[in-house]
Amino acid sequence: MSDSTEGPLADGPDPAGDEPVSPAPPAMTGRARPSSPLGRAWRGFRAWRRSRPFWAGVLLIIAGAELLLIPLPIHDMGVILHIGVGGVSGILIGAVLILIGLLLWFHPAQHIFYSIVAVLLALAALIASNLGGFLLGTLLGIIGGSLGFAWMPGRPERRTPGSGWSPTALRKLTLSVTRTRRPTLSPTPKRPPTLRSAQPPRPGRAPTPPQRIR
Amino acid sequence: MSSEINPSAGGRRHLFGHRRARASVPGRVRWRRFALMFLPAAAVTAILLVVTANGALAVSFSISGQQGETSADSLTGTGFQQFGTADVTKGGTIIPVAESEISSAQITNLCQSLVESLPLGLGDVTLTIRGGTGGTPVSASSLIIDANQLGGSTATFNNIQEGIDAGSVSDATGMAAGTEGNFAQQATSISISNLQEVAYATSAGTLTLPGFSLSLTAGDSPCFAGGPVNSFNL
Repeated sequence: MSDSTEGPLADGPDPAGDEPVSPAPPAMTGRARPSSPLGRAWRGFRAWRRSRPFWAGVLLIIAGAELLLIPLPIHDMGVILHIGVGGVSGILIGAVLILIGLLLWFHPAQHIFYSIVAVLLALAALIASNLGGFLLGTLLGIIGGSLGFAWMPGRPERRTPGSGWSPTALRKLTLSVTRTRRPTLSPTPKRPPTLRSAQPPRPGRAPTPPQRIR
Repeated sequence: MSSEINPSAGGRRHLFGHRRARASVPGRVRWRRFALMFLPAAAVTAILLVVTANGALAVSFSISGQQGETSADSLTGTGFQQFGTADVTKGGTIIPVAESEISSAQITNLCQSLVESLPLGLGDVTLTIRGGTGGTPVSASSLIIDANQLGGSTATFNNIQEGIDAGSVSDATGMAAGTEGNFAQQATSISISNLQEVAYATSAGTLTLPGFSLSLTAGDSPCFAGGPVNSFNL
């Protein structure tokens, strides 16, 4: 039972993985990985990243920082007192966009509301703050907000009904188990145990039982 | 009591497992949903830009800290005041600037450029905004320019008052006066042709930009090369 819950979880990120994972059975990779702490930390980060609209947050934070920094009178040039109306709104919009990026990371449950607010603010920045940070901040904000809006937890809609991710993983698991077991189980009634070691190389036997299962 | 604790403990463990499972459920970006949000937003952006380029929508500008160049064929404004002030850098260096405040201004062939050096040795990029090129001038309100170089071929000031106290300037209505005791000048209206200035901060409450264009070019190509000609002695 513990194997069946662990298997799909470890299997889950693999098909969508952007780093290639060896096609070994999921249980094997799950046991082999934690040896290096760095790899485990990376896998932990990857799981964290995938369970929230991560890239939407990244884009919104960049957009907010860009909008905020242009009018902000603190550069290497120093402090300039007059920032004007556009400066105040730019700083405000930028700060809120950064905040929304962080909220998308740490409170992804409300990601739709946050994302809509982010897109509206990015549009408002076009008028209120340096043409939206010379278009860059507005564009990044719209893309980030749309990504946050489009992100949904769980798998995408089931193309073929009834084949969710966990049942297929389970079926794969049982198939792999039966494939390894069948050749040893089927010959037992016929052959004496001493001859069993010579059985696996025979080609005719192995492919048939899985077909019968399907 | 104990019979209550045991199920609750079991329930808690189940809840924890549920939470852990939910937290690690990977999500996906549904690209159809992305389009549903992105396309209308991009369309609104395009509409706003077109309306801005037609001069029907005023945008607000505020740039500070970067040294930018502004040039224009002509600037006519009402309500002008100018006083000396200083921008202080973090290192303590004092940059003397002339802060010009104009209540409302009409600008033809406006060009504003910012040269930014990219990190990682990628060189310079120049961001250029142009406006008021097609007959209709750019109009700006509450224009504030912290310039350290300001020049023009001809400048006309009407009802100019020179040498007045910076704390008591009032021609640019509704805008901040300078520090008391500093030199200032003010005029009810000004007209400058072939304006060239180098500014550390530019701010405009509203700016309509008919015929506006925004371009990003590689390299250092500002609106005008070198210092401004015929610079006033500030």
